[in-house]
Amino acid sequence: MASVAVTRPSFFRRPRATTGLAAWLTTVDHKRIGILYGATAFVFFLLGGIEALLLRIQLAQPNGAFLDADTYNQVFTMHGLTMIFLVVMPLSSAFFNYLIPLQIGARDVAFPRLNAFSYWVFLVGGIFLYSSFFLGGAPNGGWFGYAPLSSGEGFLPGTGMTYYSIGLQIVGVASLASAVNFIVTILNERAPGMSLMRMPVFTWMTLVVSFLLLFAMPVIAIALFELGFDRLFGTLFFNPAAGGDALLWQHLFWLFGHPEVYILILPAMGIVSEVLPTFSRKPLFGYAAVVFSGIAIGFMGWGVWAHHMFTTGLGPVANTAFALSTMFIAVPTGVKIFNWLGTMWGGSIRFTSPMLFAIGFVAMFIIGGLSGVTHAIVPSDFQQQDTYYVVAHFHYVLFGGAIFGLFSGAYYWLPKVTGRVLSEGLGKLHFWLMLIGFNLTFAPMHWLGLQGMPRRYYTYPEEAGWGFWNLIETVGSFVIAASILVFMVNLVRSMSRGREAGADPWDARTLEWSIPSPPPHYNFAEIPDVRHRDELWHRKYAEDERGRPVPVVAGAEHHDEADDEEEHPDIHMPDPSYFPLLAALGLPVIGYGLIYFWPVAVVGGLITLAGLFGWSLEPVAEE
Amino acid sequence: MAGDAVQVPHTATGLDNRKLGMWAFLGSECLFFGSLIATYLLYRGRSVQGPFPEDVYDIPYTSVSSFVLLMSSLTMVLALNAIQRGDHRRLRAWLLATALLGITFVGGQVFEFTVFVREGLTLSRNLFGSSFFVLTGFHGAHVTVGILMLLTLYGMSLAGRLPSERALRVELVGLYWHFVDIVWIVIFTVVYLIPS
Amino acid sequence: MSTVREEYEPHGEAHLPAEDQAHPGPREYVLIAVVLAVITGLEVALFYVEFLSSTAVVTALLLLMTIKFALVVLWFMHLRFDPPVFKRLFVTGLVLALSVFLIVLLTFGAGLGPAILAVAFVLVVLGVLLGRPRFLRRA
Repeated sequence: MASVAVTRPSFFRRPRATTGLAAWLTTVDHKRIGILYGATAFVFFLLGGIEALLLRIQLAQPNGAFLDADTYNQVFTMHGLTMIFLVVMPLSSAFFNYLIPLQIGARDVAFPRLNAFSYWVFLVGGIFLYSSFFLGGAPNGGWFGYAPLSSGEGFLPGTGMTYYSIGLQIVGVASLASAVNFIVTILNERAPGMSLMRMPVFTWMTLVVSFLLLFAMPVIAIALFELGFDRLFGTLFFNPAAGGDALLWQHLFWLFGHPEVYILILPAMGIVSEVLPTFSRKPLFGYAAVVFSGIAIGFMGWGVWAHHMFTTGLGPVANTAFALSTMFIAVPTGVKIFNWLGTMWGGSIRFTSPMLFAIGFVAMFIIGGLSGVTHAIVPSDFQQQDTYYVVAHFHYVLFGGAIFGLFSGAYYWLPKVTGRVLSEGLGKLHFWLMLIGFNLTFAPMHWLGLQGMPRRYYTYPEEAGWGFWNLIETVGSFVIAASILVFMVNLVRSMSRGREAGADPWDARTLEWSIPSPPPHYNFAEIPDVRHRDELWHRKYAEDERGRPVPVVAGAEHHDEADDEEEHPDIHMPDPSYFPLLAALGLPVIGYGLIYFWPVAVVGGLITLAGLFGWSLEPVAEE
Repeated sequence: MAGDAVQVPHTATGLDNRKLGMWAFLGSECLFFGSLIATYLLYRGRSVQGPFPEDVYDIPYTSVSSFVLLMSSLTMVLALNAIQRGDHRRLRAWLLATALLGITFVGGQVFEFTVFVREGLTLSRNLFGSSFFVLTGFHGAHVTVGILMLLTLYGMSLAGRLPSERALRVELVGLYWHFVDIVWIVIFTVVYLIPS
Repeated sequence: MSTVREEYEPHGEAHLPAEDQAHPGPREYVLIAVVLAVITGLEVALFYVEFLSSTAVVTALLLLMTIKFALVVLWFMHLRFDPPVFKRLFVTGLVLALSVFLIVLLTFGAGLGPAILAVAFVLVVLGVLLGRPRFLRRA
């Protein structure tokens, strides 16, 4: 696209800094944005983890008095919101951002400034949510914010749930923007020859997740608007006295909420689908089946939401229909699991840290998946609803699943980001501590739940007999905390003392390993010409007559590395911009204005508007 | 597209990033307005106190404003046609006409809301008030955003910053504008015309 | 981004937009607008008719609405002429919205039979108009 002459007022001149704070504030480089996403989400992970520890201390003994009931409500709500919206989603986003352009052979995402906007909106949204702790109390109605408890006057007084409705709305804007961005990036920015069925599975899963976000975020947006308006402007959407229906909230929430669980798990499945083949030295078993089952999960994820509502009296027809669809969705999931097992079968497996976490993912996810199928059976769900059995289930899929998968990805790709490999010894220590701590914490919740221990209660009487396992769970949660400390030590240590990674420390299969670690800002000196699925592997290895990999003659591999450190003045990268940040900054101002003093909201709106105008008027070379 | 040669995008699908992104966004907007309309339909006839729709709706008035918005789609597509043919004078005329029709529509909506409120229908009066104002209010907000974008395009064209190579910008705003129009086509029928 | 790609051949499952062919001109646009205006007039007239049953009125109104919707989408938004990817993106969202909210309304039960039929009806008409199945295309 032809650039317009750049002799315009300095206000619209695009920033040029490449180092220091200004560079990070104005960056549109997908790698830097990925790092920002990862670092921010990790900080939120620590916060959410501390909240979990507070909950566990409170529950360690019967009649616990560590937290009072109100604080407990705030802490468990924020723990859930944090882990879902501020940790797993943005951590997945960090991987999308850093890896997708590298995996498809592109120099950046389709809309670099929109990408920066997504990150800043996520950051300010998270800060907005957390600021509620200091401004009269955090959200306290559970992460699903059931109406009318969350909406009605006097049920949950204070501004907590108002922060919930506005804060999640802001974070949702970030998700929607990045969904559009990654759909277009994956469809449009692929290198020549990178046909859809040659894309790495992680890229595929990102595409599916982006579509889920694209269609799920507007639904929660409306639900949150209706909730927020009920609280702020006295609308009656969820007011039973005026004829409002509490089930409307549940429908809208779970219409978003169930696709959301696949939004959380599919990126981890994508990561594992990259890690297992690399460390089994075999191509992914049944690539097409894995891809299509991912797409099938994405589709079917839209037809199961009411299984969260079995006990609300939908009637036998609806319950049966949703029970069936829920059991069906286990099929594509099972297909994936067998393909992962098939990938490892007969491979020459290296038990490195990423591989251990990937195998841990598969094992823990199977447990969580199976307990999930037990919820699909309606009478069984009637028994399990709102007990710790459910808590056990979703921690097995979200922690045992998503978090294990994300740590697998972290050990696997951090060498690409930092240029240094993490310590294997500490990595293994981290893995085993986390696996043991995780199972100590969450396995007993199955039987406590079946014994009838309810969720969300801040304490329980001694006579219930739940004290022993609760104590074990609390111990387990501290073991998890210790494992996270080990990870942090490992990360910091690797920065200075880690082994140099080189371009391809794992003998991996996909394009991101064909360029130096860390990659130059333009990623690929030459846009790769893709001939195969697992392109890099095929550049490195040919097959002998019995199908075993044989290294291609030395010198044929990694020729791209020669370009390291070289300047490429002919490569035009998108210019940095401070308008995405400005546009994002207006959003929480609108939020505070709505809660406290509406003229402030107008100011916030003007800030965002100014950001968007600057954005569309500043000179562009890349659009 | 005439004069669009510069824009032929070098992408894997051969499609322009922004246009693909816009269509994805519009697909998302279907769910956005779908949720609002579903809320309205669910609460149809559930209000426990008046005023009810038949008490306040003024069908001739709304028909006129619906017609205005519908015709703005025509002027929008003519604006796109003008820039693709390199006729920048007409482009500005049609852009301005579209914006003015849009302003007329939003102005009409503001007036309609005022009348409703005077007749006792507010956000917090009954479920009809809540679901009606929020649905049509979000639509009006979308129209307002569209008007801002149209006026921006008009200003850019005046400043000579909207050459024919950038016809895509007009096309993108046009897609958004037509989408807002088809949402109103649905609202007009489902909310106003179909008796409860 | 597009500036960084030299000698780049489009590839993949979609094709270059064949946008130059058969794009309508102002005359067609005005014609469509006239049709839209007439249909709107019909709709308003239907609102006032007394002699039809309410089911018939609702059916007719939905049919007219769907036609208007499709006309704007196909002609003014160029879906008729553009590569099919755009249509797929949009229709996915549209059909998803119609089907999930149909199910939501279904689970609320009571008196929704006609409404459900209506949505199903709209879906079918839209499918026919947007999908332009082969049997509707001129040979």
